[in-house]
Amino acid sequence: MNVTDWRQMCKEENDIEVNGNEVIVKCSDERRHRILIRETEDAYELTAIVAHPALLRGIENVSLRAWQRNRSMQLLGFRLDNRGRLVGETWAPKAGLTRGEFLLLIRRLAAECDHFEYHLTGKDEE
Amino acid sequence: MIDIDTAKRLLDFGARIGQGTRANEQLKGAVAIHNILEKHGIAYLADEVGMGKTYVAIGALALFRHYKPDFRALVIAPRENIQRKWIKEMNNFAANNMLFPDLRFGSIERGLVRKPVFCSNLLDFVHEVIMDPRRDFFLRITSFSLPMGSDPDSWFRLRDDLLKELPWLPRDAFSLRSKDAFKDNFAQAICCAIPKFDLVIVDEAHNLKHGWKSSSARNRILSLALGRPLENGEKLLFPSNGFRSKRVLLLSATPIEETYRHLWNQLDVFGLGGKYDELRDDDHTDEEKKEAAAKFLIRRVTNAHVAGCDLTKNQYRREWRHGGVSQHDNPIIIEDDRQRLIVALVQKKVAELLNSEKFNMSFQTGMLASFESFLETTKLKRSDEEGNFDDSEQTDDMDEREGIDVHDINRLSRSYREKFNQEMPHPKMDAMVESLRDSWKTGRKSLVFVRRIASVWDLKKKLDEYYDDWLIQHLKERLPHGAQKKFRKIVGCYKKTKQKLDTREEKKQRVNRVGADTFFAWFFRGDGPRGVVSGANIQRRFIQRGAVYSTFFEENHVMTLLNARAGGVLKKLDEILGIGLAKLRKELQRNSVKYLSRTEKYARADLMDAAQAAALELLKERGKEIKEQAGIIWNEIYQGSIRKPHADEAPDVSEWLEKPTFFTEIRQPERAELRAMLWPEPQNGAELEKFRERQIRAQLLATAARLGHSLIDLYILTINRLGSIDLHTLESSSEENESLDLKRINEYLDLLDNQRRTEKSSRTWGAFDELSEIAQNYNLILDVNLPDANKKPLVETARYFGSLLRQQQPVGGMTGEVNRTLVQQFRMPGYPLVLFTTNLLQEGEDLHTFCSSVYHYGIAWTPSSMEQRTGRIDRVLSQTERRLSSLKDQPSGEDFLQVYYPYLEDTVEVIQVQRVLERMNIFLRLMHEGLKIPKGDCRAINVRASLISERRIPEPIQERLESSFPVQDYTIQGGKKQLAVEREAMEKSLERFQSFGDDYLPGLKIQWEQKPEKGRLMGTVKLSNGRIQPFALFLRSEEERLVARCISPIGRVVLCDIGDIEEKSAKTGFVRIGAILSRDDRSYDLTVEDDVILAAPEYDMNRISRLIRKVVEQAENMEQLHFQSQDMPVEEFEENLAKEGEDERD
Repeated sequence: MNVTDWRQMCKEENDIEVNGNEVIVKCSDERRHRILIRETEDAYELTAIVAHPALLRGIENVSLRAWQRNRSMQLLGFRLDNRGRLVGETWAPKAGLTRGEFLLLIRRLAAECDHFEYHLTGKDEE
Repeated sequence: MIDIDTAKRLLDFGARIGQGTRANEQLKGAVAIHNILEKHGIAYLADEVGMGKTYVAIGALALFRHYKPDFRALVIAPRENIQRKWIKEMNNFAANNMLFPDLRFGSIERGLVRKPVFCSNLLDFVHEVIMDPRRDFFLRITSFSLPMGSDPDSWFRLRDDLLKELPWLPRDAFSLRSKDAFKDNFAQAICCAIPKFDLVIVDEAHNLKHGWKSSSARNRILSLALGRPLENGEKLLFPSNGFRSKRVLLLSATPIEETYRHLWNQLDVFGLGGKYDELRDDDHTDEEKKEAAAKFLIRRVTNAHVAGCDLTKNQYRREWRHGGVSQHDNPIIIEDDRQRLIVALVQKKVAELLNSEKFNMSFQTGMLASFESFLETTKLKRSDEEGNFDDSEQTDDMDEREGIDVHDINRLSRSYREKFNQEMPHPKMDAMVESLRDSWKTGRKSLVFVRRIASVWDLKKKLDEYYDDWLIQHLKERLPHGAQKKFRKIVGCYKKTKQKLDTREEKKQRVNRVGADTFFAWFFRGDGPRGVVSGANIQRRFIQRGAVYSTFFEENHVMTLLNARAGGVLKKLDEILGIGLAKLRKELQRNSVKYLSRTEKYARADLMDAAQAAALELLKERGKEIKEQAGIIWNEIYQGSIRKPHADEAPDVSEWLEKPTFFTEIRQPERAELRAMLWPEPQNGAELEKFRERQIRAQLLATAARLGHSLIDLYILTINRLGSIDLHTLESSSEENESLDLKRINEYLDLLDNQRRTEKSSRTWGAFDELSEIAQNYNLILDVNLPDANKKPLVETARYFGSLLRQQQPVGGMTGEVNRTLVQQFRMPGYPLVLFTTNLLQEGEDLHTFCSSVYHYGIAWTPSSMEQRTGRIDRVLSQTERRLSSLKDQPSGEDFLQVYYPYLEDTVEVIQVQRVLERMNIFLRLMHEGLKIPKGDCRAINVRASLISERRIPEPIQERLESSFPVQDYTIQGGKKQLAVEREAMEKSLERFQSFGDDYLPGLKIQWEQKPEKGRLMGTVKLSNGRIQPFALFLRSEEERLVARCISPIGRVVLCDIGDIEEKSAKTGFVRIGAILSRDDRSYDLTVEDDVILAAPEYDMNRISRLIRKVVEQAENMEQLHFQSQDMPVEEFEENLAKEGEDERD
C-alpha cells in the first residue's frame, strides 16, 4: 500500500477526513481528533497530540500518567516529546497492510488520544 | 440473538459441576439473558439461591464479548467479599468453562483477555477507568454511600481527590450548601469520567428495591453516577453527563418482598422503569403485572435428583418449625423449674415494656435481646452508633436499635449473678449449645445466624466450654499413665488463664482471647505452655525444617522413582548410573552444594532436599527410562531452589536418600485401601499434570494433618510413644535412624487405617475422617478455596495451604467484617465446625461445601433475608446435594438439609416466628404460582392483635414448586448460528504463532528457548555489536485480529527511578517501557515492549522480525544509556517475562 492508497481508503470512511498528511477522526460524543501520518521505508508512523504544554501546565506527573496508561495499552503508547507535548503514537508495517488494519489503528489512536485529552483537559482541541 | 446450539460450541457449564440438568439450565439461562438484553436492554435473573446466577451472568457476558471484543462491562456487587468472589469466578469461568480460548473473552493462558479491576471506592473506579477503560470493572454498592462527616474538610478532600483525576472540573461546581447537594454534584462528576458501559450487572439487586428516591442516598448516587437524568427540569451539571448503561442485568433470588413496585423501583434506578409502568400501577391486575415482568425476568427453581425423583427445595429441606433443636417437630422443653420461672419473669418484664405508651404492644421483628440471651448487652452511647442488632436500619428508633428490653434484662441479669454467683440461664441458648456439643465427635458442621451482635460471642463462649470439656477428657483417656499428673497440672494452668480473661472481660477491659479461647488454641497452637511437650511443640517438630519430624511429611521422590525401599536407594541409583558407590556419593555431594545455603548447621529438611535435587540432576541426564520423570520432578520442585549465594562445600548427603516418609510408606501395597481414601492416584492428564496433582494433594494432606483437628491424633500417638509429656523426654529421643522413622510412620498409618476400618458411629471423628474428606473432595476444595493452586509453582503451594489452614478454631464467630480465612476454613472439612454469625454472611458467601445445617437463632424480618441465609448452604454442589444424589433408596429426614428456627413456646417470640413463617410461605407462593400483594408492613409486630388471633405455626409447603417465570423458547432461539471464531481456527492461529519459533526470521540471529509454552515464545537475539538481548513473544488479540507482543528486559531499578528513565527515554523517540515487580518486592525489572497486528500469514516473518528487531534495539539502547550493564541471559528474566505476559505487572 502506498501513500496515495492510504488517503484513498480513508476518504471512503464517514468518520475520517483526510487533510494533507493528516486525518481528522470523529470520535464519540461529537468529539474529533487529528492524526499525522508519516511514511518510512517499511512502515507508517501515526502520531497524535494529546495536549500542548500550555494545557499541561499545572497538571502533576504527566510523564507518570503517560507511563501508567502505557502499562495497559496495546498497539500504541504515550510520551512527552522533546517539545513538551503529550503525544500518542503507533505504527503500521507496510508488509501485508490492509485497509481494515490501517483504519483500526487510526481509530484506536484517535479514540485513546481523545480520551486522554478529555480526562486531562476537558477540552477537544486536538 | 444467539442460538443455544451455537452457544454450546463455545461454553461448557458442565466442566466443573458435571454435565446434566444443572449445566443445561445454566447454559439456557446465559443464552436467554443474552437475548433478552439484546431485545429489551434490561434483564432480571431471579433464579433461586444457589443455582449459579453469577455463572449464568458471566456466561451471558462471554457470549456478548465473543461477538464484540470491545464490549464493556461493569459489575456492582453488594460487598467487598462478593466483589472478590465475582473476580474469582470470572477467572474460573475463563479457565474452565470456555471450550476453547477465543481470544475475546478467554486468553491463550486460560485466563481473561480483559483484566478484571477491583475498585475499592468511587475514586479508585474513576482512576482505573481513566487509565484504561478497556477492562472489566468491579465495584461494590457500599461505595456509593459516600461517607461524609459533618466537617467540611472531608468534603473538600473528596472533591480534591476527584479533581486530581479530572483536573479540568471547576472547583465551584461542588456545592457546599448541603451534603445532599454535594453528593449529587459529586455523582454527576463521576458520570463525566466514566465511559458508556455495554452492560452493567447488579448483583443482589433487591438492595435497590426502594428506588433512587428512597431515603438511602446510596441509591441516588448510584443512579446519578450512571447518568440517570434528574427530574423536575433540573439541569445537568456537566454537559457530558448522560446514560452510562446500554444494558442492565439485575440479579437476585428475591426480587420483591410484597409488591411489584419493588421491581419497578429497581428498573427506575437506571431510568428504565418507563416501559413497565404497569408494575407500579395499582390499576393493573396481578396477571397483567406478571405478564409485564415476564418480558424481562426469568426464574428457575432448584431441583435435587434423589433416588429417581426430582425434589424442589421445599421438599428436600427439613424445617424445624416447632422451635426444637433436638427432636424434629418438637419444641424446646424447659425441664428445670428455676429456668421456667426465669423465662416467666422475663416475659412479664417484656410485656410490661411493650404495654407502655411508646411501644403500644408492638416490637421490631428479631430485635428483642431476650429472644437470644439473658446476658448483659452493651448500652448504646450515641445515636449514630450501630445498634446491638445487625440490620439495625430496620428501624430509626434509638431504643429499638438498642433493643427495648436491654435495660431490664441487664438489671435482671446483674441481680441474678449477685444472688446466685452464675449467669442467668437462657433455655433457648442452652438448648442450642447443647445440641451442638457433639459437633467434634461427628464432624458435622453448622451455620448459626443471630440478630443480637453480642450473641455471637455469648454462644461461642458457651460452646467453647463444651469443647474444652470434651478435648480435655479425650486427651485424659488416651494419654499414657506417665503423662497424667503433668497433664492435670497443665489443665489447671489453662483454667486459671481463662479465668483471668473472664474476670477482665467482666470488668469491661479489652481482652484478646486469640490463642486462649479454647484448650485447642492454647495447647495446640501458638506458644503453648512451657516446659512440656504441648501440641504446639509437636506441631513445630513437624513444621520447622531442622526439627526431628521435619521429613515425616516430605516426599522421597528418588526412592519412589527407583521403586526402592529405605536402605536400598543408593544401591538402585548406582545400578542405573553405573559409576560405583564411592563415586556416586562424591557426585551427590558435589551436586548438592548449590542447593545448600552458607550456614554452620544444615537443617534436616534442607539436607534431604539437597540430596533429592542432586540425585535427580543425575537421573535427568543419565537416568535411562526414568530420565523424563526425573526431569519433571527436578523442574517442578528443585530448579528454583538453587541458592545464591550457596555453600562452598557440602556434607555427604547420600544417607538422606534412604529416608522413609509418610508418602513413601502409604504407597506400599498393604496400604492400598488407605491410600485410595487419603491420597488417591490422579487419573487424568499427562505425566506433568498427574505429578502436580499428586504433589498438591500431598501438600494439602500434610498441612491439614499438622494444623487442625487431625493434629490431636498425631499428638496422642507421639506422647504414647514417649510415655511422658516432659520436655526432656522428647529431647532424649532425638537420635534418629531409619528404623525409628519407619516405626513412627507406620504407627501413624496404622492409626489412620484403624479409623478407616471402624464404623464412624462407634468412634469419635478423627484424623482419617478429616483427611479423607479433603482427599475425596479435592477438586471442589481447590475450586472454592484455592483456585490458584494449580497455577502456582509447587514450592509455593505449601505456604499457600499453610496460610489457609492456620489458626484454626473449633468454633468460629463473625461480626463487623468478614474474616476471609474463617469463611474459607468453613468451606473445608475440619475446623471450624460451628460458625456463629450476624447477617454479615447472609448474602453472596458460599458456605455449602461441607455444611448441611442452618440455624435461624435470631430471626430476620424479611422472608428474602431468611431465604438468602438458608441459601448459603443450599447451592450447586452442596454437601446436601452430593449426599442426596448418591442415595439409592428414599431419603430419611436426616439426609435432607436441616433448617432450624429455635424459639421458646409460650413466649412473645413465638408470635414473631409465626409471622415470619407465614410470610415465607406467602413469599414461596409469590415466586412460583403468581404474585399476590399481602397487606401491611410486617417489620413491627402488634402483640395484642397477634395474641387475639389464632396462634398457629404454619407448616411448610410440601407440593412441588413450579416457577411463574420459566425460560421461554423464543429467548433461546436466534439467528446467530455461527461463532465469531471457531475452535479449529483458533487452534490454527496458535500453531501459526508457535511456528515463529521454528522459522528463520530475516535479519535476526535468534537462539530460541526449547520449552515454549502455549502462546509464548522466548529467545535471545545476538546483536551486531556482539551483545545479546533476551526477549519474549506473546500471542494476543485486538478485536477480531491477532496481535504479537514483544517484550525485552533492560535492567533492574527501584520505583523512584522509573519516572526519570521514562522521561529521558521518551524524548529520544517512541519507546514503551514496562516494569515488573521482582520477587524481592523492592525493585522492578524494566522492559521495552511493543505490538504488531498479524496480517496474512505470508507476511508473518517480515512483521515479526521487524517487531523483534525494533524492541531489542530499543532495549539495547536503553540498557546502554541507563545501565551500562553486562548482558544478562534470558534465564535471569524468564520468570518475570512470563509474568509480564500474563499481565501480573505493576
